Amino acid sequence: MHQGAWLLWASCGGLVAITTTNPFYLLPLLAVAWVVHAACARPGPQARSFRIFLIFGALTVCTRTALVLFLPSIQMGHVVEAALEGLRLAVLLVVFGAYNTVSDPFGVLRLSPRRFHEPALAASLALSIAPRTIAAVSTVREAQRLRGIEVGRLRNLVGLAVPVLETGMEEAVVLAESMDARGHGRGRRTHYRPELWGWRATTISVACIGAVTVAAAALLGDDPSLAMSAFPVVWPEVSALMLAAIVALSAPAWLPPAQVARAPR
Amino acid sequence: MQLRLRSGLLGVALLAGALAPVATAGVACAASSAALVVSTGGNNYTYCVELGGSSVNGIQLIQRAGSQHGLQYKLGFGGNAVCMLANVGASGNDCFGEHPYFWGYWRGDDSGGWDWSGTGAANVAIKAGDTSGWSWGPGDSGTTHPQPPAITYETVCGAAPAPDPKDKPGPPKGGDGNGAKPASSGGAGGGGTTTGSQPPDREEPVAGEAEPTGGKRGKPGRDDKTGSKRKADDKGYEVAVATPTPTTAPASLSNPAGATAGDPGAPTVAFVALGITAALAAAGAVLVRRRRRFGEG
Repeated sequence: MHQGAWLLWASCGGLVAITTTNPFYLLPLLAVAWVVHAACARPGPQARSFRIFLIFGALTVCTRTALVLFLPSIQMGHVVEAALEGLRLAVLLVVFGAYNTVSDPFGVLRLSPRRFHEPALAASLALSIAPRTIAAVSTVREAQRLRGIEVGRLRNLVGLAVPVLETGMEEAVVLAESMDARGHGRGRRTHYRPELWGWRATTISVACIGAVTVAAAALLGDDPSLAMSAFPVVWPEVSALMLAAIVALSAPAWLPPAQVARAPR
Repeated sequence: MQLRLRSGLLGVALLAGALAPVATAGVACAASSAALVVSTGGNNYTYCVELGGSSVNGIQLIQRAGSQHGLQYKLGFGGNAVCMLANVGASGNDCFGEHPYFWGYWRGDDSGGWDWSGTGAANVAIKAGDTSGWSWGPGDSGTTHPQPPAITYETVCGAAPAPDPKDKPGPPKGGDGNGAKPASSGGAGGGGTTTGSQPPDREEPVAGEAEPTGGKRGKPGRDDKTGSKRKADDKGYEVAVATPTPTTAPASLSNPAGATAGDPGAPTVAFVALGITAALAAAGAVLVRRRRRFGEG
């Protein structure tokens, strides 16, 4: 599928996540990210990034909740409010993690507009740094294992960090050079093997834009269901429309996969 | 692949953890009233505020004091900050226009003393028997800001919690034990509602957009408010206060959080949301398993 559609999906999922602290919106969104990851993850080491982002999300919830301990007097509402804010961040992270597993980091680079070469290069490198780092970590660990180094030891983490950072730097330089070679920032670009925007991409885009429109309308219309009141803690209202919009974000999972899988690079 | 399944389980556990506090929501405390002390520097007013069985925050306590006893107030920053109380404070659009003077929030300990509140009043849940204090003055911390006078809940509300004034049909509201009593100096004679006991040193005309507090219950207490009527004529704001607004309740108007506070129980759509979550999670697990079996092996 077109990388632009995935980019759109991730942005829309993130936008919907940050508009709300209602757990009855955030939890379905979390499940949407999971099911899209489960259905569309590309094979390879970068598929691990979803799990890593999930762990980071759990840590975020714990950290944000633990911050309550610094308050002079802790009440139920504080804990609930902090946990929900943490959950919002966690959902944002998990959506990004799912995006990392389904998208092709090099395909994203190809999307960058050639007129704004430098910022586009920086942005696409930043977008793809997580899957590339995770891939590099697993490569280096495999190499270490082959040499008989115990991978799990804390002491050997230093030996892991240096080659991983080095690989990241080298990869960035290689990418920049290859983009230069392909005519980025030099006026014309060749259209060798252009990426096709198919009906799947169109369907997903429509679903995503619809979801964001519903969320934006709720936000601008001061929908009380978006924020959960924690003082006092009451059951939040849940709007069926908003719920439908969130479910619509899972559209990529239900579309049949494309026949020809593209080569990773 | 086993790890991926485990990550799914982790997600479910995470959801359960986030939901656990929500499940305990809606537990209303059985109590009835809380004490509110407003210290303008020159005058001290105390209010025994009926909570009506539901939990309120520090801002809603002020709003209730407004609707039950006619305490004048003006809120800012989305209803999270207190700009004006008892006609003292910032009156214009700038909520902290009188800086460094501002309304400091204190929480009473049980022995009559005061603790500086480290959190905003909107984030403090008031329970029955609590004492909340507001004092006007400079100073950004509990050591520099003037404290309200030492007072206990029993002094304000009496030993037994007062009954809900809504249940009493006969006597004028605010004129009996539930009413505001001038704690020290400067109180008005008669019924003792605070609209009649404005401090004389700060009489600024206030803009018309100030919230029409006290309108809901204004009528029954009319006899006690002769003092406020006298003042009302030369100040536009108090005219607005004294005029009853029969259509809407001010507390719910000015407080969007309070409007939903009475909702008991969980909406069914919430369970639909949880069902969708579970269905999607299960679908994801099935997809992962199918992939493992046919695809990557």
